[in-house]
Order: sequence, then structure tokens, then C-alpha cells
Amino acid sequence: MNRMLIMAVALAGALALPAGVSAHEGHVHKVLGTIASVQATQLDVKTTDGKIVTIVFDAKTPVTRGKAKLDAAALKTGDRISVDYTEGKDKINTAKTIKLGESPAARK
Amino acid sequence: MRFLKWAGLVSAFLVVAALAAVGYVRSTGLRARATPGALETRVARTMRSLAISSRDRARENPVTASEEALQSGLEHYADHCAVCHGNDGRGLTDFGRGLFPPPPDLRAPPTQELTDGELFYVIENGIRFTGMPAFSTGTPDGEAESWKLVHFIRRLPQVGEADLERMKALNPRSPAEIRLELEEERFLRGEGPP
Repeated sequence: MNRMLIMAVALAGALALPAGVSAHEGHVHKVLGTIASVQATQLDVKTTDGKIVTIVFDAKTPVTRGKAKLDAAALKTGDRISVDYTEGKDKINTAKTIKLGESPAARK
Repeated sequence: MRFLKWAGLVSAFLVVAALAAVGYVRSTGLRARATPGALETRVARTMRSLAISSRDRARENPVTASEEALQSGLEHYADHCAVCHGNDGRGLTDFGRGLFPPPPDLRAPPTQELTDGELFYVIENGIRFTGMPAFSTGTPDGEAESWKLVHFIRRLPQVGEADLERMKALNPRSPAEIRLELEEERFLRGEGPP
């Protein structure tokens, strides 16, 4: 009798264990603008309405122009850019993808 | 005397079970933004396994794994499944992250080790108390689509960038997303003010 009661309590305890809350990434945002400044792992985007959005990236962040894949060295001040990013709980914006606009030569 | 002993035992169990249920509800808040514990995961997978008959488990895929079938499965997956499971099958989407239990990583052994029959059963019938809906249409064509999907799920661990790009173009989008995409394309072409 006692053993069964202990087993029942143990089962109840196991079921009542709180599940761990997982870290939850934020929604993906998009910003369009021009590169106001760029450093090794961070860039400032001047949006079409004049605001500055600071975004961090790393070597794994995909950088593309059209279908061409580039590396971060291709990011130049003044370039048109579209960045998909997530905002972390620490308010840091992390780039998921970076798309560069067509080069002025290609537009001519 | 013996009856009283059993009645007491059953009552004690019911009280403990009720307390456990209340404890579970209070401690979790029934929030979906949580990760199921190891015990919950094991119990759920055991239940799912018990729910699928050995006859269903042993069913073999009647559709030949041709390139055409795989591409059809890819298109179906991108349109119906990727919103939760993600194009790469990892489940790291807005919907996927918000579900309890979260969708499994379809590339990982717990899914890939299921039989074709089990995968087909889950696609056709869904899984109660999860976000997995039943996609059965009750038609031979519908079943054939599900079997093609089974072939594509087998391909997921090796899916390449060309397939991911193709799926991206096939993913359902809201009018607002389409508008934003067009706006982005125009902007990157150099149209409109920077």
C-alpha cells in the first residue's frame, strides 16, 4: 500500500515538473535604406525615412546582390541595402540576410 | 475490509492525480512557449507509436521515388508544411517556435527512423493535442500526394540550396508580404528615393 502511494506521488511529481521555458527569437523585421557606416561586424542603415538602424552580422550572414553571393567586404557606405533582421531581448538587431542593391554601373 | 482498502487506494490515486494536474496547469500556465520535458517527449512518442497499428506501420510507399515525385513532394511541402516545419525541416519558423510541442526536426533520427507507413499515417491523420493537422482528403489522389511527401521528407536531410530557393518562391505569402517584396525589389533596382 505504502509503496503504491509513493509511486503515485512520484508520478504526480514528475508530471507536475515545470517545463523549461525556451529562448524565443523575435520576429523578422526588414529595413530598406542606404549604408551610413560599416565596420567589421556592424553596420548602420539610414532608412528611407531618415532613421538610423544599427545591425550586427557575422561571417555566416548571407550577403547577396541579385543571385550573386558576396562577402561582407562588399558592403560599402552609400550602397542601397535591404536587411532582414531579428531584434533580441538585449535590443541588439542581428542580420539574417543582407541584400545589396544593383551597382550603379548595372543600372545604366 | 478488502473493498475499503482498494477504495482508499483508488481515492488516494485520484487525489494525487488531480493534484498533479492542478500542479501541471499552474506551474506551466499552459503556455505554448516552452520546451516539453524529456518525460513528456518520451510519453508523447510512446503514445504516438501505440496509436499507429502494425498494419499502418508496415505500409510501403506505393509511389516510385522518381525525380518527378520528389519535385511534386517539394512543391506540396513548401505550400502546406513549411509554414511550421520550415523549408529546411528544422521547424525554426515563427509558427513552429510558438507551438507546443514544437514541430520536430524532420531531418533528425526520431523522424527519419519512422517507417514510411508511420510518416504517411501522421500526414494523413494528424496528431491530436499538437499543431499537426490531418491532411487526408479521402481520395486516391490525396493519398498519392501524401506518399510523395513521404519521399520528400526522406530527402530533407540532403536538401540543397537550389531546392531551398525554389521552396522560398513557393511558400504562401500574405498580400502585405508580396507588397513588401515588390517594394524591396524596386528599391534595390535603384528606383525611388534612397
